[in-house]
Amino acid sequence: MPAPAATYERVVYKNPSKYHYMKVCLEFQDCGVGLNAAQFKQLLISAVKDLFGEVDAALPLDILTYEEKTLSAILRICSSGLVKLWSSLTLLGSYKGKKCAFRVSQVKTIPSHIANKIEWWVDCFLIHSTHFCACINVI
Amino acid sequence: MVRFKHRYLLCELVSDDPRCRLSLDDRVLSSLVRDTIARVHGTFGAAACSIGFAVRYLNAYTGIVLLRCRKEFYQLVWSALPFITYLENKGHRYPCFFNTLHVGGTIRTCQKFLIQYNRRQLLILLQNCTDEGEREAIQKSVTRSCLLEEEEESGEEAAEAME
Repeated sequence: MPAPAATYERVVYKNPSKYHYMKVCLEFQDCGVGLNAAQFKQLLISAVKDLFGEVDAALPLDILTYEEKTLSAILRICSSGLVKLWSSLTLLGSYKGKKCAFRVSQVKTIPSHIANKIEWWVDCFLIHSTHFCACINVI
Repeated sequence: MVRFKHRYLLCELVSDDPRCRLSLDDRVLSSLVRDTIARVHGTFGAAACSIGFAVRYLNAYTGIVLLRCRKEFYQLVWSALPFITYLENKGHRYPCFFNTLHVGGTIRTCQKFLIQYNRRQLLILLQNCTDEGEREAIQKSVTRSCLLEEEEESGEEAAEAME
């Protein structure tokens, strides 16, 4: 299944965080396959178990949000297990005999709703500080 | 210099059943360890550990086993050993576990450790034994091993003096 050409942007945050958040989407070759949240998690854990065994299948992995219609989810994994989870998602090829693939769209160290708020707060601070400096110059 | 570095894991097979040690075979043990690594560490672990893996020494009477693995992945092998709970041979299943005694870089260091360990075990056996005949036999082995130890030490001192 050839993936559509996607733009790639990388933003590096310097603070070491305990968790990484991944936004993933599961695509099937044929349509009409549905999974509920429990089956989705079972699929993720079995993918890690195949490649890295029982020890790494027990890594604390959480599904924060899941949409059954689009089969997309936001996952949370501890930072030491990110590489293992991502590589096992890459190598997962089928679910119950049907061909599928995982598309990873975002990987962040902070969950998206908090990230937006931080950007907003930083913008406000900058605007106020420039305004403050301008006032001092006038005085 | 460029060479493949290995780690040698000296393990002891501990079991209640006396037939378990006698049914130890290097092929049986090798396949058991490989299957356990595949279960515990997955496809990646199985592939990484199987390249330099070998059973180098096996003593069915004392249950001592020497496993060799590559230096980069010896921790995967070491961490998979406690997950071995039984030994299967010709349809019989014997519950057992592996006790890792020593990890060394060469067979010689493992051998030196094993000699000291066996001396200590003989002394423990001497304390715990009840039968008079056994006691005499163990005392003979202990005195012989002490004499050998003194000979080794004097040999080493002579070698150092010559240098």
